[in-house]
Parts: sequence; structure tokens; C-alpha cells
Amino acid sequence: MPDPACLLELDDVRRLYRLPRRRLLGPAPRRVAVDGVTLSLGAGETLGIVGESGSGKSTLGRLAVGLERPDSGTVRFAGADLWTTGRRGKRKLRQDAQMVFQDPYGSLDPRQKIARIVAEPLGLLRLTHTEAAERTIEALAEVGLGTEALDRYPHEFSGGQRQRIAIARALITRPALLVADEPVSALDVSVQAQVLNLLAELQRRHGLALLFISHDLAVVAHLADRIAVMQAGKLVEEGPREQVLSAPSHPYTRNLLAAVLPPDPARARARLGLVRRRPA
Amino acid sequence: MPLLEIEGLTLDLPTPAGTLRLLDGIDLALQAGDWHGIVGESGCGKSLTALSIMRLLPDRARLGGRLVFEGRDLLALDEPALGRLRGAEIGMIFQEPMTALNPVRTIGWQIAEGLRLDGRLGRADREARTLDAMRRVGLDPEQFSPRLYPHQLSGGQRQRAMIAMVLARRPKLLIADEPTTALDVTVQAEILRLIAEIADETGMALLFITHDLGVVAAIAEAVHVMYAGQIVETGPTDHVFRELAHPYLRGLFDALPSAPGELGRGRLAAIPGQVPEPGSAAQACRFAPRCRRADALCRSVRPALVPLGAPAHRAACFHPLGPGRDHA
Repeated sequence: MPDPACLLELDDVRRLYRLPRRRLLGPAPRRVAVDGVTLSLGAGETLGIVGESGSGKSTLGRLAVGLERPDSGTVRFAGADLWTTGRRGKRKLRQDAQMVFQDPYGSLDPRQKIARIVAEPLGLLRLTHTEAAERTIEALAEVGLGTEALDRYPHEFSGGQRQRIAIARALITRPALLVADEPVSALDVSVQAQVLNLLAELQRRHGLALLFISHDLAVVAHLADRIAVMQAGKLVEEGPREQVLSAPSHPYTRNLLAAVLPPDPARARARLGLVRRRPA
Repeated sequence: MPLLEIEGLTLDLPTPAGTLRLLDGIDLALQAGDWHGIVGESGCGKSLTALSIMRLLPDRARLGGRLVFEGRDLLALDEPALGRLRGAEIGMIFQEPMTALNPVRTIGWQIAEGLRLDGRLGRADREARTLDAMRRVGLDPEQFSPRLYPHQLSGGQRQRAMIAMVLARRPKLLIADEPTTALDVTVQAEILRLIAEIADETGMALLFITHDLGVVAAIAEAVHVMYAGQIVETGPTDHVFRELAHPYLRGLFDALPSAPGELGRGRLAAIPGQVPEPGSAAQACRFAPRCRRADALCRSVRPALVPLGAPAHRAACFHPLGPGRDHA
């Protein structure tokens, strides 16, 4: 049964990818990217998805905003099944669920000015030119960029600023859900902190539900209220942040936690079990 | 005599818009068997320092200062002499093993390639050395045939093959440029352990280049922190990471989310602004525009590396922070 308090519900969702055929007439082999995942996200909540490469976490994010169709199982947004709802429902979804990607260099069209890039999703809303321009300026201001950005091109901005632009574009339709797939992985630590602070701030200010996907447990732990751990397409552990971090139940979660190296020489060496037998 | 001695190393790159100084007076000394780390954010010059040591930069890049390996002036060596040095005496592994490995040659061929170039060992000895190296890095030839191609291996296995290539030639110094950045954290731990064990067994010196403060903490006994083409703090990792004297290094630590085991979280202290674009040689502190402690002195005079309390711990700052002291 759909739970009215839940914004996003995934129920036993499976997604297969067909791989290239090995033989001309043979069956195409398949790979299960997401294998029977059930989870829900309430309005205003932050759920962190952590996993290593190939665990299916990005596919999960794409399923959540309807960029991919599950092979079985259902994805419900605000109570309605994403894939049985009509055109109007699809349109509403495009406004209400937005996405930010990892690569701030690849996700912005290099030939368009910032004003056009940020305003693009407004095509869904049928606003007047003045309204659209106001919204664009407002969205840029939210991420800390001024009107001087409007007439510039993506290459004129640093990686951190480009990620701000991508966030402004995602927020311009005032969505209820933001899916952020590795949004800080390409950024340096000092800039990463700026973007994480921005996401936390926007989340609070607008009551956004945030699905935050990352390979970096420390970053996920910083933002998320709940943490879900994925391994080989399956959700192996899910729970409140404190519980997953201090009393992980699955061995894989414990492995992930143990592999994080703190910037403290004695503890980092102990984590790796490094003992130097022949000191220099 | 140090194994590697770098003094006042500069790297200038002429461009149509003027000459850019990409390395601005790097000092670094490495004894045989030392494990050092260079840490910094993108564009700080840490990889360029490694490429300068290997003399792998384009011809138009101009190097200055002193670069000496075991008494030999690397800036004076000709290309054939450099060819004999690279790989044989100084090994290097890179971040992306897929681009560093040759896709059309088997891994066995590539591991043995350096030995063939050395020309000292016969075919049977080369083969034995190759199999030994594979076994040592955990690619048991029983399971992983030397006839496999790079695309048939996972990322971690490829990095193991890279390490076997370097290891087979028994270099005195291994330069590792972000060797685990492209790998998952659990694989990263295995590769770091492997490199440390091998260096420990063979007495090989390590120069580890990374942006990851945790990796440097684990592997490097001495650390050099770079910012905008300069070393801003240097010394034994234990001291440097406890005292965090340079405001930039302190800023980096403050910007990190706390370790996931520690539950505290709040607003992260981001460093305002961005890394400056490369320009001419610094006349002032490069970090001053982003630094809360900067004053007129910092904006007009370039700070030299000055000794702090612990032996060999030095920072290039007029207003270094003390242990445990917060931002003033």
C-alpha cells in the first residue's frame, strides 16, 4: 500500500542490463544492476546511498527520478506509480524530482550561456519571459552566484562553481526531491566542503528530500539522516545514520567502515595494519 | 648522501600569454629507504614534481634549481642516460592503470619488458623474475596467466600488474602518483598494504603523491604539503598532522567531514575562494587571499620555510598556528 507520508517508494525494484552478445545468434547475456531493492524516502529527509563501483547505486538514482524503467517492481513518487501515470503525471514528476551529476564538466553544455543552462527546466512550467528571468536570477542567488554569471559560459567557471550551476538548474523548478549522484567526487576537499554545506543549507531551507549517492562513506555520513549500503545490486543494510555507523550489522558495511583512512598517522597505520619491520 | 635531493626546483612554462611558473622553489631530500608523501589539491604541482624528477615533461618546459639522484645531476643527463635511469632505478606508477598499461600486449610481456631493456638477464631468468613479481603482488600465475591482456583484469588487478612491472626491476625509488585514487576503498587498502610490504622487504624508498590526507597519514613517514607550486609545510607526518601549523593545512583538515565513526557533524569549515591561477614567481604568500590570518606582511613578502618546534618540521608562514590552537 502507498504510504502518504512517503515521497519516494521503491518496491522490490529490479533492473537488468543487456550486455553485448557473445555469439551472433546466441542470447544476450544480462547483468542485474539493481536486484530487488525496497526503500522509501520521506519529504525533507536525506537518504545516503553508499557503495563501491558497480554496486548499482547510480542505477538506483536514475530509477528514482524515472530516467530508467525497472524490469520489475514499482517506483512510486508522491503515491503515484511513475510508469503507469499519464503524461500529466510525467510532467509533474519532471518538475518535482531533479538530479545533479558527478561531472561538473560534462553535465553543462559548453556552447550555452549560464542563463540558458539554468533556465532549461523552466520549459516545463509555461512561464512568461520576465518570470523565467526572475526565477533564473533567484536560483543562481540561492547557490551563491550573482547576475554577472548569466552571460558567461561554463568554461569560465571552476569545478565547484559549475557544480553550483548544476544545482541551481536542478532547483529552479522547486522540486521536492533532489537526487545527487556523486556530486562532490570530482572536487577538491576545500571546494567539496563548500558544496556539501550548500546542499545541507538548501535541503533545510526548502525541505527538500535528498537522495545522496556516493562511494565516500565519510561524505554520506556527514549529510544523511539514514544510510543505505549497496553491494552487487542489493541493499545489504539500511538504517538510521548512527546505527549504521556505530553498530553496522552487515560484514560488508564493517569492511567499508574499516577501509576509511583517518588523517591521523597512528590510526591510519593501525587501520591498514602497517608495521614497518625495517625502519629507515 | 641523500638518495634524492631537490633544491630550489622551478618549472617554467612559456605560453603565448607569458611564462607561467608552475613549480616555485621546491626543496626535498629523501634518504634511501625513506617513505615520503606529497599532498595537495589539484593544480598544486604535486604531479609536476614527480614528472620533473623523471624528466618526463615536454621540451618547452624549463626546469631550474638542483635535481640530484645518487650524486647524479638529473638536469644534466642526456636522453639515453635518462632512459637507463627510468624504470631501472626510479620506478613510477600512475593513477589510471588502464591508460598506463599497453592494451595490445599481455601483462607478462609488459612485466618482462623492462628486464629485456636492461639486457642483463637471459630469457629463462627474465621469465622467472616475471613470475616471481606476479606472485609477489598477489597475481598468482596459476590463476592469472601472464598471457592475459589488461582488459581482462579488474582495476585492482591492473594496479597490481603495474606494481609487478615496476617491482621486477628492483628500483631504489618508487614514485607513486595517486596509485589508489581510481580504486574502491577496500581495494585501496589492499594496494597500500602491498606497496608498503614490498618497500619494507626491499628497502625501496617511496615518494607517494596523493590528494588524500588519510592515505598520506597511513603510508608517509614524512610529508610535504604543496599549495600553488610551493611546499608550504614539511616534516615528520606525526608532527605535521598533529600541529597543522600552516593555515592552509589547518583549513584542509577543518574542511574534511569527520571520520564516519565519530558522529559529530555540523557545517564544514570550507576554505573560501579558490586556488590562484599560475602566474609569475610569487612575491607574496600565495595563500594570503584565502587566509584569515593574513596581514600586510603576508601580502607583500613571500614567507620562507622556517623551522618550528619538532626537528625538520617547517612551515612557510609568518603567522603559523600552534598545536591545538584554533583559527585566530
